[in-house]
Amino acid sequence: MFGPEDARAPGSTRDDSRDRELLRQVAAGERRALERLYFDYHGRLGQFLSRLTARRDAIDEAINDTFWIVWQKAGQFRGDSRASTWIMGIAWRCGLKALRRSGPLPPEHGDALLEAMPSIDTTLDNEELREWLDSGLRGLPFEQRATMELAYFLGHSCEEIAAIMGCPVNTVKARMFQARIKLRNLLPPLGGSPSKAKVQND
Amino acid sequence: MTSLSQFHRRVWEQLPWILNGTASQADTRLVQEHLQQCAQCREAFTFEQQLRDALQQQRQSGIGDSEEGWQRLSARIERGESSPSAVRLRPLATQTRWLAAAVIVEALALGAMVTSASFNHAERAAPGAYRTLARPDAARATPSIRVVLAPEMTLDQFRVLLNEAHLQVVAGPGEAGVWSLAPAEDANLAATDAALRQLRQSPQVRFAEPISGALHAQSP
Repeated sequence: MFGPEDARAPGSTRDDSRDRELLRQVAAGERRALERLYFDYHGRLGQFLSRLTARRDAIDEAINDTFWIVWQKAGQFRGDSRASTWIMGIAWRCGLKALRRSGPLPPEHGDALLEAMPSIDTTLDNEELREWLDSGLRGLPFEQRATMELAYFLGHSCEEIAAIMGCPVNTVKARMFQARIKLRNLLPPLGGSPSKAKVQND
Repeated sequence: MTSLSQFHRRVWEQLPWILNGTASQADTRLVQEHLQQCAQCREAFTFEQQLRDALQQQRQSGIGDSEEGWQRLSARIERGESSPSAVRLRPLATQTRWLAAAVIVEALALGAMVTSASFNHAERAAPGAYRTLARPDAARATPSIRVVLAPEMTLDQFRVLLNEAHLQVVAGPGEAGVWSLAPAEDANLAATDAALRQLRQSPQVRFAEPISGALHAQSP
């Protein structure tokens, strides 16, 4: 049940010591090290930040703001977390600023979304499933979306997500719990029939 | 509706962290044993796996080109542009010999500045590379202290230290990371010694020295 396919998400098993070494070089002013980090992280930062805002210009700006701060403050990295946790924490704060400037994803509330969803079709293909998931995620508050992204796409632990988002571990657990309940109730094609899948937060 | 008991809820809370491989061994073992006996939680686990897989496959479009982004960032660094979210404190070079040489060069430049009545600060600073914590008229003040900060010192810490020592920034950081400071408007020149002592007591100040001639030049 807990086979190799259950290991950390792609992109999260990278060699932390390599990132630390690159940060050390960045702190010494080596632009090439910053460039390597930039290209290594660009895709996952874009993916993560796209959970906060749909505006491409805001995402691009937040990515560059993140690495501008990495360039300035790499010397402040103490090594008491994974380098990726430190960088993602900066990206989260830059993402929040971008969110304030550009506005959130188009608002879609869970209840309205549920009503708008098509009837259950057991022949849904992967593309349709992805569309449902996309709609379901848009119905979540951005903090819950970002928490799911950090856990399932980027493979961060509960404690690391707390460090990234600057909140208590219990808040991360609560966000994850709420997000999963909403998605489970909004996405019956994933969880079987609604009557079986329906769970509540009690 | 299925109401989750407290234990089931605990298991349910653990599922994401087990799936992404970050749960403790004890939690993983506990959940694994429970799943063997509980069909309801097995179903929840299967749902969670599908949710994770779907999320991982869901790539967002609209992310900009990395090469283009890097070119923009490089240009920003070249310009020495400042971000509103942070102040740049240059990292110290690891070789103290290089630092000492650079400080001497900068000290000579500052000495020339003190004795030159026609010194134009704007001509000396590289375009865009100048970052100041000074008051608007600080560029006209005569620097009396030069200081090098530890790279981990934050803007707020520096600002507090300046306030406590009654100093203001006149110029900096230069190529060697040297900041030039002068007494604040509300401080007198006799306070320079006290300010120096205060700077030197800070663990985040690597180097603090008076600029010779500065006191004399400023005396009425």
